[in-house]
Amino acid sequence: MNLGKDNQGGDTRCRILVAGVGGGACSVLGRVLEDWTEPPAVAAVNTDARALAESGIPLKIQIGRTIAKGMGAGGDAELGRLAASEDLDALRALVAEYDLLVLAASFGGGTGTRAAPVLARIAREEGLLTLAFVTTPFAFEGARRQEQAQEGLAALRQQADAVVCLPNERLHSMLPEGTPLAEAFAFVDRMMGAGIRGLWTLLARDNMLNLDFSDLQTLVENSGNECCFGYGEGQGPGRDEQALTELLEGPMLEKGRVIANSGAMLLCVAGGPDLALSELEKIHRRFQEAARPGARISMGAAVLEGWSGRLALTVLAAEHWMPPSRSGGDRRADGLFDEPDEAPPPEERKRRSRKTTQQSELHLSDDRGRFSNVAPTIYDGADLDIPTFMRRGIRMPT
Amino acid sequence: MSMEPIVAVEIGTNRARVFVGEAREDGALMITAVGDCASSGMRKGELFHFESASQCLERALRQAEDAANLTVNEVHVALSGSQIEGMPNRGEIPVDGEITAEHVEHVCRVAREVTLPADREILHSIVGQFSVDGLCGVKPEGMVGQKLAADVLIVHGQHARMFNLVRVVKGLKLEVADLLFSGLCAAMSALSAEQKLQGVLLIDLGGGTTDYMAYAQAKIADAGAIGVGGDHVTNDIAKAFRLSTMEAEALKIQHGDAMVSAAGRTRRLPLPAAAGETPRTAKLSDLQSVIHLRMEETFGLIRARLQRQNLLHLLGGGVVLTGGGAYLKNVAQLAEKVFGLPCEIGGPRNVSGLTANLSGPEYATGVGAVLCAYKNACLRQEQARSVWRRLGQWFGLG
Repeated sequence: MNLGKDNQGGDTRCRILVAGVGGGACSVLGRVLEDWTEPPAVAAVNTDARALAESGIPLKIQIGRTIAKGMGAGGDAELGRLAASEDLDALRALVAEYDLLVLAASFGGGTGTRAAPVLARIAREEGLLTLAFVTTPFAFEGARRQEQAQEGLAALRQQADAVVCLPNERLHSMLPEGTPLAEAFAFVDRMMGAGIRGLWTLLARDNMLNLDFSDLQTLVENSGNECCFGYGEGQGPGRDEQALTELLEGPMLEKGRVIANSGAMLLCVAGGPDLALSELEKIHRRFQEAARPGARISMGAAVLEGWSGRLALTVLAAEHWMPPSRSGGDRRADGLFDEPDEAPPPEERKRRSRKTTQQSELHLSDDRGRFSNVAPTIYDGADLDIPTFMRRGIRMPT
Repeated sequence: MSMEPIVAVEIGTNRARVFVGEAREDGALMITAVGDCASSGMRKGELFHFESASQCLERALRQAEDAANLTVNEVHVALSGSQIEGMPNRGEIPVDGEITAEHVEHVCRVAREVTLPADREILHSIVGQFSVDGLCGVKPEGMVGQKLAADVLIVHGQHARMFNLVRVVKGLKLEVADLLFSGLCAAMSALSAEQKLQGVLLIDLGGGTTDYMAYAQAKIADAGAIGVGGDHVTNDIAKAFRLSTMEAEALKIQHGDAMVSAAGRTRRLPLPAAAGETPRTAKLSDLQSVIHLRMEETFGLIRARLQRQNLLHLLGGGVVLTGGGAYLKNVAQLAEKVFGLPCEIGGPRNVSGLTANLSGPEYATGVGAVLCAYKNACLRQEQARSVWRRLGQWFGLG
């Protein structure tokens, strides 16, 4: 699936649609688009006709003309849902041509909160894989918005294949005290934009080390509908260390706790032409150390023009990872176990199987018995669901 | 002082229970009805399957409603799960001269101000002790000093997981009055004031989680939950002797023992075998060691945590075990060995009119939840009265 040569016309590469639902997300995408040299298909879905007209996003879908009369939903989530329901056909036509929908929404308000689950449902009906990036409100935005956001999240989780939630509150702690409000919001937008962009870069372009759609599909479909997202950036000498520190010790992944709990993750590295193999190796090693034993780590790297001296690291991690069944295992063997120390051509990567890793993992999940389908209990690096006697290597004579 | 009947629900990993309590004329609390149903849909104290959890709770609820002859509208929910953590925090304020009730209120507010990751929510914030100018454990009101400090224990959990349980309850058209940490509930009903004064550790051995609560110098010093419970013991047995979960559970109940005995080395137990298979046996001592290793590890995890907090030497009152796991043979003996402290099996005690069939250790949490809710309600009435009294004083009526 990853053998397509470019992003245009009739290729086999994953066709990605990025859609922002509601005012907040549309403005985020608008800003991201400004300095995106070869952007994917981006669509803005909103009730507010004026906001749509002012948006720099080329593809615009106005929903709920009758019910919202071209205005915003005014924080009324039910109105957002009804508006989307009014234009099901337009939404269906929008997603029809694509394989992957990356949906962005700022939750708490009217349109995004409840229209996003509707769009996700349609995408699911049309057979797309849906990955949703969602921000939830700051605490000071009030209880009503929080509540609305939680309800929206619950609805979205039922429809999307995976929801990446960026709680503004958590990002809040990344900012120095006294940060102006506008800057705080801009920061959140940047994080969301960076995540979407990082993912897209790795999936839609030809890269030094590609991640393909099936990697993402595997992660997302077995993620228990919830993924965590982290982003770190570094510049100059020691950029890899900077990016790693920001990710593994920053609050976005709860100081690395998320990585320690995750059963599978995608690492996307973006750098300039000076990106070194030793850097990739180091990043991979650090994640391997931080992750729980047997976690699936797949990594891709992209070289971008004009990125010399810069390095960005995007992580998508599944905390509630449920290992796919045996029959599904073969399909996954192709891309998920790539190691960064060498970058063989894709065809070769495909053939190379990593039987040992896979077997040990299947074995491991078997040991967990009745807990094999629930999030593991990790304590000081040990999976407590595995019988104590097994972890201590004591054999039972039966 | 009349009060509506108090209803508490405990959606445990193995049982869903509903308790109805009513205040008697003399102010003592009486449990008037209980509903009890085998629970499915829960794993490790967390929601696993919505419908089955909901059905079990409904059955238990109807039982209690029929027995108490009332319609339940509002419930107090006792919950657990490995995501629940205790976090000690200290708040300090400068004071000038005599400390007033306002100062005390202020310092408590300061101590409760903590920044948690956005997906976490405070369940309880329990004021431990006050200190004035470094003098600990004082009653600050009326004292003179320059610095007033309050130590609180913040018990917090992951919002989404707790919200899942709330959804189960709300799905039955019930209002959730409050959420209570089940370890706190168990301590409420199973510990005496004297034990708390001496310092005591309560361990509630549930089906899916093990909750603990430590008291030192009559105050709550630490609390938490480990996502390991009786189900893990069963799973370990199933894995060790290649049995189904049901068979392993039966074996645990009939022959389970937390200590390895000399007699066990010579005694063999018949294992269930399918028709046509050759009958198998296992050494009793093997079964004992599987259980012993698991329980020893679980107690060890709690011990390590208390040691880190420097609390072990403050637990003169010993260890009290509650929960269904307390029925495991010799479990108290094992706890004595691990903690080096006297250990007893506890059950609900601080409630009058308890019939014999409610005094078992497995009822400590549920009865405690009613007790907890009752005390809170009393406190609120008391506060309401004191506000009126204070208002009265202001207007010269007091």
